[in-house]
Amino acid sequence: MGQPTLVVDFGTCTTAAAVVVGDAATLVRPPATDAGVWPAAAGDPARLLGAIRAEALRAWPDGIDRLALTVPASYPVPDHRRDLMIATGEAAGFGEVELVGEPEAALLDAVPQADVADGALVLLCDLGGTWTTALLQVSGPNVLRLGHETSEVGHDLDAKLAADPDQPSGEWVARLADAGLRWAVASCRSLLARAAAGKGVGTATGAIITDVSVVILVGGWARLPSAEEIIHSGLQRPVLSTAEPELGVVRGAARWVASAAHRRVAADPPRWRVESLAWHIPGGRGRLTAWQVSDGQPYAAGASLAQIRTIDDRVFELTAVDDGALLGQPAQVGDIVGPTLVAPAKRQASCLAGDAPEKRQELWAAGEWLLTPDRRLLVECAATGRHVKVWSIPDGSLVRQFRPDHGGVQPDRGRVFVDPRGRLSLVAWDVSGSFSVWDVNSGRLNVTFRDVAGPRIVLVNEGEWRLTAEGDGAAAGRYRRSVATMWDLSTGLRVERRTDQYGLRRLPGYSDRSAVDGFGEQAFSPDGRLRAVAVRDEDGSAALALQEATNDHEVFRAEHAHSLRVRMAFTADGRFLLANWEADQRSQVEVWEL
Amino acid sequence: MNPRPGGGLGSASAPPGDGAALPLPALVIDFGVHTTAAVVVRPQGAWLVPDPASGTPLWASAIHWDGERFAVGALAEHRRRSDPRGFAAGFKRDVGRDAPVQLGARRFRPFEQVFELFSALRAEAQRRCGFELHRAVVTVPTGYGPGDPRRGRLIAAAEAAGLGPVELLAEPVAAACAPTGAPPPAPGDILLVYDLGADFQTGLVHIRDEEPELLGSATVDDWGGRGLDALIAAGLLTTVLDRTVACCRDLLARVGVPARAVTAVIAVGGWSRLRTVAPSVERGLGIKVSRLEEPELAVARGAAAWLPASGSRVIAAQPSPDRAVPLAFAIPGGSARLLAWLVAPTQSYLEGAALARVRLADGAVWELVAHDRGTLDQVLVGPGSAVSAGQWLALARV
Repeated sequence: MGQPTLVVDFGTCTTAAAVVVGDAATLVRPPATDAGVWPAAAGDPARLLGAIRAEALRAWPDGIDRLALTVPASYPVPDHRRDLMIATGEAAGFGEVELVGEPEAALLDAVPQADVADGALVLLCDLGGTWTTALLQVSGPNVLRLGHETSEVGHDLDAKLAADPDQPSGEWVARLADAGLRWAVASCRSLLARAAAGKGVGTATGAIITDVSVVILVGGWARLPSAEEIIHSGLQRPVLSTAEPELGVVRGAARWVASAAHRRVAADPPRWRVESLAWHIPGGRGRLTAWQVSDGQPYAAGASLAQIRTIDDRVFELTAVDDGALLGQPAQVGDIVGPTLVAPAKRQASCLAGDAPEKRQELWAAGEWLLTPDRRLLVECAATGRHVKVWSIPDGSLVRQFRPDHGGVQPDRGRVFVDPRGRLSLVAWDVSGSFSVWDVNSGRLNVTFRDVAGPRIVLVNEGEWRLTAEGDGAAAGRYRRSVATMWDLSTGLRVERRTDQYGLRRLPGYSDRSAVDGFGEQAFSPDGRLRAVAVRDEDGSAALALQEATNDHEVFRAEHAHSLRVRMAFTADGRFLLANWEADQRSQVEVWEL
Repeated sequence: MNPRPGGGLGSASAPPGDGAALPLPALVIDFGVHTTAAVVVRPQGAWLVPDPASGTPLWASAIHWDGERFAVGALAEHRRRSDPRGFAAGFKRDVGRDAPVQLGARRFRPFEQVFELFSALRAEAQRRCGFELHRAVVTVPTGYGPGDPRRGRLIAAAEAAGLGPVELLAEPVAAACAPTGAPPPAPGDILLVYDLGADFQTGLVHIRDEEPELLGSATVDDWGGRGLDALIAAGLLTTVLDRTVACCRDLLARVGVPARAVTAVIAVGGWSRLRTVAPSVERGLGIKVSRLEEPELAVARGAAAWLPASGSRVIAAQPSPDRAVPLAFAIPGGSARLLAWLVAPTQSYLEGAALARVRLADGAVWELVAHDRGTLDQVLVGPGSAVSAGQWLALARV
């Protein structure tokens, strides 16, 4: 059993309330009446809230400390009316007050019946005191609002009804309601069009009306006989009307409260290479007047990192005890800080010796790896050129996968290069000399060409964006002379063909793998404090040694049996060390977090 | 402290910054309505900076604009005779205002006038010392309370004159530290500063082990439409003294310190030179009055004595405990308001435990939970504070 939470939906005409304990919700009805709803707050929500609380406490005498209030879609974020609602709840004696959007709550009420999938688009028509339409998207346990509109049709109907209570189904009701429902249809279409145009949050770009799973009707005027019919005929989508539609919002808010376990966010994983610098501010607080060291900048022991002015107008220098590097400025100049100011700093590189970095990823490929020149993404290219995968370094997740459509004739070889505009390009070819050049991001085939010599050696100049292919030319007596051809990778046209002894192999700038690959034979961390170098173990296998750059002191070593070669890199933010181990047929990447 | 009025500045051989963690060398400025005094303070001692035009340690708080450059102090007063339209004095009273004053063909805001005075003080001090001064203490009346914009104006003017970082010191605290020729006050003493200058202010200062503390203060700056100077010139000194003594009595009553608990009255300010002042105050309060030889320089000298004794201005970073990790969270929407911490410092928690509760901008309440088990070490952000994604909210040991 959890703590009870009172849920209140303040409506324009009526107010509904429920108490939620765990998964169970119980309506709180006005005393001594059969009504399921309370009257409207009528300008004094605090008084009504007090009455509802008193009634709820009759059933939960141990106390109710939590309150959830529904908030109209028309209240933006932030908005002083939201603050006022929270203040009203706190003044009524609730220790914790939270707000729930009415459209979101209404959707949650309908979810069990509507059977909407994750990511589904839903249109909502709340036909209560204020008529509201909303386009919503289910996002796991939460609901995203992609847009909403409101109308005063409900007020007009209520006013008419109050003035002429004997004829609730009269002609004027039909006339007003029909006009309002047509507004709702037009509004729903407008909301969808705006979302489809990519305006606002969510992922509804390009959506059309048939992408909407269901249209949900809530609010008291959803009971109108014509409501479901007009909405359905106007939108041509399934329409769901819930029972007792005037209670839909409070029931949904109760479900929202019951799902509080989903509204939790875990702490970021700790980064072991980060330490905190803490300064206790004399007098408890002060104004930050200057940062003397910028983000990422190293400093020496005793250096002044920042300056503060205390409330009695004394000026203090905040200094470092040891050498280090600042990782961030936790406050801005002019901010009030204290009683403790804490800044993130890098631990000393020597700490690695007693506290080895944690390996975060291991990735294998039957091909080759490339680290993008910005040192942010890993690119795996199959040796056959039949796929390229782009991986995220921090979590090892697949960011993008590209499988070129070679039209049934599969290539034998492929490599990823970076074109002069910095775009990843797959250059694939087969033994017969059919070349194709693909843009990895868009999947577009840029050029194709055929080198009849049958390429044995393929080299690319990424700056000039040209390729040389060397193969066997025609036989001349007992000899078969080499033929080298230079191709323009932008146009697919042949630039030059040579048959001399050296061919084009010795031209500068040509390489069999990307020259801007982030992996190298050695690497320095961005702050210059660490150097990674390749070394050989006693058995001759490749190993990686991580050293302090200033004194070559080794602080970490990684070994990889049977690997012939290792290349290494640091990510751009210096957070990860990467090693690319290569053996005959396999290539592996290991990632350590520093 | 060995003030040498009227110049006689010491050797400039010692490099600036030899005060180690102390905020030295520095220029102390006692900026008054009529006169200003400046003292260069170094670890080796302190030296008054005389006005080069008059040779006296008191500078007139006056400037003169001749259309091309400013003259300050006695030189400004001298030029006033031939060109009164370019002259300004008493601008301390207007330092909180922005309205410019016409000087010759140009208009200058009070801030700019203070800046010119401070610039001249700094230039003269540097010329005599032979090294640059980049730190200052400016004394301020007790009426300039925390948050008073005049504090910021004075700091800005001094910093603009190249004297940053600039500290402020309450004038009664400075006066309480002024050398009197008698044995210095002992810890526990309570001194009543009686400052009769352009206006009257009094402050009750408790001498503590670490530094003097201002227990309370009071001022009289409304003399019925006439200035204090005019009243005294008109022979109404007795009326003035009665009001000042009453003001001191009110202060003692308000702070709750009986007169017998006060060690001495320190009489400072130019008008306290008058022979009748000390006896009247002694009679009125029943407390012995310590008289100073040059009471108009007491605040500047006291501030110069206070500065080296006021402690280091260096706060060294505290080493983080072993395995201390920051707690930061990817808060949905990027920002929220912290409602409550659900664990207290030194309290242990398990993986997944709710550590704090926040309210997002849309009003939804979310819980911040632990990634790993640990012990909360130090809370960095209190309930009610705005917090953002990735911000360090606390330190924990894991």
